Amino acid sequence: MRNINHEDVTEAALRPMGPPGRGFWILAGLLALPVAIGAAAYVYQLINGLGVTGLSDEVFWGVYTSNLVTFIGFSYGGAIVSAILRITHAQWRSPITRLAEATALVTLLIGASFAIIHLGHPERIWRFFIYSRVSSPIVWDSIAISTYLVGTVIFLYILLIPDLAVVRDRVDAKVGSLTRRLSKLLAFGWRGLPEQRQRLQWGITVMSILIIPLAVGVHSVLSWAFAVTSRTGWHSSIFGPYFVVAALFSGVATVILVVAGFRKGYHLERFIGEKQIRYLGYIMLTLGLLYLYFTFAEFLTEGYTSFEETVPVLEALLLDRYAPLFWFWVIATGILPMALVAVPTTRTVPGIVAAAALVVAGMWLKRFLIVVPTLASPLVTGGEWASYRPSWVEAEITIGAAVAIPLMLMFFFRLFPVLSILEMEETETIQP
Amino acid sequence: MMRFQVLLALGVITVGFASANGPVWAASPGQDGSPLLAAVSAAPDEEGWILISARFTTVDGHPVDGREVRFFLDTGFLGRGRLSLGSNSTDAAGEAGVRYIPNWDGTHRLTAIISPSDGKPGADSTITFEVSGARGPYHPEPPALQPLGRWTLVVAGLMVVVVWATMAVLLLRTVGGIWVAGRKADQAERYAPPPSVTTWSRRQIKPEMVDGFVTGRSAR
Repeated sequence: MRNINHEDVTEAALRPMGPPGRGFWILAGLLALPVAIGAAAYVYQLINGLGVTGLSDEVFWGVYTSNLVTFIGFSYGGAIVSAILRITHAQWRSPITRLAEATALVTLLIGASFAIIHLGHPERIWRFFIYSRVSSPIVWDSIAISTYLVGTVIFLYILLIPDLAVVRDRVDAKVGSLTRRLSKLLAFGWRGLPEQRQRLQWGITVMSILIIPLAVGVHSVLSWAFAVTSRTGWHSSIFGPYFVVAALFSGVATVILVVAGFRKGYHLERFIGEKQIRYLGYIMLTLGLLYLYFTFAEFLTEGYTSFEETVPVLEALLLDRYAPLFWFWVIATGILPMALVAVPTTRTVPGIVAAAALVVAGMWLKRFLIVVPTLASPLVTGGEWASYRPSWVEAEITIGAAVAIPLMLMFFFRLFPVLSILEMEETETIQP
Repeated sequence: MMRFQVLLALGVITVGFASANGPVWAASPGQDGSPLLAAVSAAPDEEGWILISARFTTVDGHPVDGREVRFFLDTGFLGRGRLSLGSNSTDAAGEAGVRYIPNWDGTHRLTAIISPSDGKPGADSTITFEVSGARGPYHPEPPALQPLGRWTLVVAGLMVVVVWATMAVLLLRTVGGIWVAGRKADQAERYAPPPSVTTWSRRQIKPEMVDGFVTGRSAR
């Protein structure tokens, strides 16, 4: 890393913004296909109503709610990697912060869209704002998510300003005229003056501090939409921190996948070393252990008291109808990824990426296991369990949304530099 | 079954019984063939609760002591099923009871059951009664907590306002400051006196420009 100079970094940061090669279009086409199918499935749902899903009056939250919580959780990883590492002056962060921040924005947009997808009549969304009750957790969810979205955009944008000026000023940069015009507009006259640097530093520091409680708040409020109901399995005082840790855990795993993907796709190995991915793996490992602890604490307190109404849901999760999914989650998300990161021989880039992929998929499953069993359980003793089987419409929309993440990031970095040039200079990752 | 209505005022709850005059008796054969008799009754108390009481005897009238009685309420809410009201053990008089506060209006069908176990016989009995003026499971905050609830909303709202205001100030101060500083520098350069040849040459002349000038090719 010591032999990298400003010119190298600028070239690498602007590389995805150049004329796309055949590989880009092939990959974009492959990713666009499931996204288009997902969009078509949504249109089908719009025409035919929510009856095309597996949802019912009993299990009224299912895959869509799991997606909402999961994708918004992914965005939290971007916030922590960028903000906490910046506050603590972790030098190794600089090549990955831009990727983390962009991931936060894209996953948040996709996650929040599931609040709309879940509506049978999205054109009536305005009624939510007119007739909502201020004491409803759903109202506070929307306030929290929109606030976090604005915060994420600001956080991403102010860090982009100096790099946009580079795009604007580089005559030899192979970028389109639209990109150059956009860069000129958004760079806001950045010239790297001492006063400008001072202003930017202040903004970055304040926003880095602010984005952390914002992200914590969003996931806490999201968890309270469950916890303030008197439903078995949801009514828990630890749901706030439990959800926050889950978001961090899956979010860091998402950042690992994105960083590894762009590192490989745009040949950024010189700038994003194995060290960055290994350190992210350590953070993921720590958060994973913390999440396992929370899960144990939750089940222990419920199981130890064994209130009559909590036992059926616990039994279903641990021993009965949901037990295969739950124990699969324990092995695939709780044990295997931890082992892959902990054991030195598997602590390689492919090993950590495999662990991250398991965590991302497994944490979606965990959200599903939080949402569905509680609703499917009978409200009365001796009542029958409701059945919920996601339909092909829900499956296609979910796959489309998941695939949209890399696709949107690919096009995002057609417009904006993939590396934070200023930060790499400031952290002395590159030579002046 | 002879039915009659007795309306009892229980504060806000009114309970009208539609049952036999007195306990409802039912006989169920046990596993050993000796049936038990079960009788369940319901009566309001002064605190607004309904006392559900069940009495179990053998056919020859001896009370059944020390057996667990479970009390269930039939419900059709979100599917037919039985809502457990709790359980208790019969005493020396063969009686067991629970207290129940209804939370919906309408017909309540309640059953007291001793399940057969270890070869001992079981029995059950059912009573039906009407309820009006019941309170739902979600009810207003207690008066003592109401100010806290209101203030929680106010504080949460204020926090949101503070966060949005901070972000607005941050954006204006950072981006606006960058823009103003850039404009000032532009204007300073535009109205600055012409630089000396030495300064100008050090800042502006690049080797390729000189090369282009000498050779007659354009520097660009």
